[in-house]
Amino acid sequence: MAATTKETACLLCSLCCPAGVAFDDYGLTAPEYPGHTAAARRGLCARGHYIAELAGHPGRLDRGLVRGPSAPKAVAPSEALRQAAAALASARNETAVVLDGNLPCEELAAAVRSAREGLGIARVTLYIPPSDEAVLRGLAASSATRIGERELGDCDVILAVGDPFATHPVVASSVLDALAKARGRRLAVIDSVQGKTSRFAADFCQVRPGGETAALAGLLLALDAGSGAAAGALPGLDIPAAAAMAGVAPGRLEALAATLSKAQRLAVLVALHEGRCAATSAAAALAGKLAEARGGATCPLLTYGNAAGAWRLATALKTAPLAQLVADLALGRVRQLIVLGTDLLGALPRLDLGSAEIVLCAAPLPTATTARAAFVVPMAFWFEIGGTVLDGAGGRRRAGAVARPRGGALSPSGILAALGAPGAAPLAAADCDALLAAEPSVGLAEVLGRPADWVPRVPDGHMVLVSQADCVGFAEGSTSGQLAWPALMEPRAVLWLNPREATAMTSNRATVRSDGVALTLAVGASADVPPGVAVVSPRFVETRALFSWRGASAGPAVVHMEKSSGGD
Amino acid sequence: MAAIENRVLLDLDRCIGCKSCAAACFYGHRGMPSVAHGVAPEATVPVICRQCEEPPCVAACPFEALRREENGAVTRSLVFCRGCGSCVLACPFGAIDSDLTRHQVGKCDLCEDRVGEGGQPRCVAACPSGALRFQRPAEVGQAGLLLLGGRTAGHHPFKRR
Repeated sequence: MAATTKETACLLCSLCCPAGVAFDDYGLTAPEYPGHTAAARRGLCARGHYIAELAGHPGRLDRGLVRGPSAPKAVAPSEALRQAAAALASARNETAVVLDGNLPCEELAAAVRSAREGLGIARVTLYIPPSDEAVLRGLAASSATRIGERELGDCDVILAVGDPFATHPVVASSVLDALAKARGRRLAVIDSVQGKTSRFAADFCQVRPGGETAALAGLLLALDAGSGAAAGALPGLDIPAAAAMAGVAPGRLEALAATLSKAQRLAVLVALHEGRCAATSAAAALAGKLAEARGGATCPLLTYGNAAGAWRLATALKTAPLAQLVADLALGRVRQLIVLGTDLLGALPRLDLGSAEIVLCAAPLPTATTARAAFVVPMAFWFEIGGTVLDGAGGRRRAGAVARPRGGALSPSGILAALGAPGAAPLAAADCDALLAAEPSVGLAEVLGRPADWVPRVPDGHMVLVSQADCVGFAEGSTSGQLAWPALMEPRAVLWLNPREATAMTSNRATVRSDGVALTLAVGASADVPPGVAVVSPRFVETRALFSWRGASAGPAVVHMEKSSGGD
Repeated sequence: MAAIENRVLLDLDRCIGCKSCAAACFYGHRGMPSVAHGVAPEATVPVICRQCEEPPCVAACPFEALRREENGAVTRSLVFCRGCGSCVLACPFGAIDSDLTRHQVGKCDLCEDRVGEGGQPRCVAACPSGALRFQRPAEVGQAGLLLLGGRTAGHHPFKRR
């Protein structure tokens, strides 16, 4: 049985690891490891393996779908597109296009141009996970250099904000190699929950949920005590106040600052994901300032492989931010939506569509959004399109096409062309470079906001719900819910509590109430979870709805917990 | 058939419990994984077949579905396996899992399709932290690591945990 192996870049996180897919004569697919050699022991994380299943997924959309007054009807994709084009014929000024940002840059640029110039739709949004956008915005407010995970080996002190070993396991190899290179090298971690990274840390600063921003501010103030530059950027905040907000002793921050001050080369890993930090952009900005103060670098670890590329394109092409789209939908300024590639309703479960209708949704797999759309057509995955992407550090990578789109699936620009937009000419390499060259500048005060908003306030009798750091679940959208291995490992959402609080539940289920949403979940006990905190995986649409949504971004939620009768 | 002297060794100093090895085994063996995870209070570590020299699973199998190959790998025949679970009970390391829906057991075959061509088993190739090694156990001592129980290694395997 001969197998053909093709290589691409994994876009399931911003490390963009080399990933291979082996196709055999029977159309079966298996993962391959082009980045691995016996000497360079770097492999592919569990999430990276999903590409092989996605490439041959049995549930792949291969027909169009038309939802009329009667039952949904399967039709050829071209017929679904023809009918969708007729439905979109009017009200172009009240139509918005949402385009998934985790596609090659050339494709994104071509699709934006097709929507605007071909269809006359001005409102185009490139969807980037809100936490990714917040990290990129925050880091843009500092002038610290960015490095990829391979450059971590030169760093003698590594500060991780979040749990990068859990969310981006491939980074562990570089970090552990860096620590093993010489005596005295240190790994410090700031996180609210004991995790995979903190087990390896020499200094673990456990903050209260959402306290990462305050802890970073305290560290910056302690590091910059002499110059007073940090105090200027953080008016009204001193070390004791920041420590109180972070939930740690001031001496703890000063001791950690002393460790950082000895660094010859400092790296700050920024692994802040949805539902973990209340002020992600402020935390990222302070992480950048901290690295800048010590002449170090930041290493952003994002959810989308091409988040950095899509963010630069969104700025260069002046597309509408996601927050703007959310506001427009709530105000009724948008009546018709075209969603290409992203699972908008899965990723933003509290999105208020107002009076808007999802006219057309294109996706490779059925999602929460395709279930609501009037017309559904199959779309190609990124590894069926191919092109240039920017990794988290802004490095250019080539994501090759490993397969042809299946079942008549089209790229977003192909779908827009079928809707009536003349096919945009492929973007020249020089044009693409020009669009990706400039990074937007962001003011520090703009991203820092008010320190009072950094940490959620918890009334008596309530707990804080934070999202689980895990590489099994792909936190964005519902794609991983349809994959075999994640479903085997984590078939349903579990609410993790401190053992003492879990025992007090008496039944093995609890009902979580959060801002009008109530959900009953199985309870698990974990000594990693501190008292007063609950942890849940964000990969389930229903659990994502529990988090505290402000516009398009989610932070830790203040929840009320009740025992639930009728356990499993 | 050349003997496979290398074995899958786990460096506890580097294992982050990410379960990438389990994903690699699952996707590489068509959904019939043979990497289990032992969850201890402070660690999640993969439990992988040791390819014993005198394998109790082979002795326990009533259908002769398991056998030790000339190259040292203990393999399972999908044709003869009835999924009775005798090997699951016989394995002293808990490295064999039964699949109740397919009536089969998942059994590590050292990825013979890859190792036979000079490659490494999938779990080792996938390991993102470099914790899994495919080496002769004797080499581990030469590298300055402490070998515990034949397959688990580390400079200070239990210090961190």
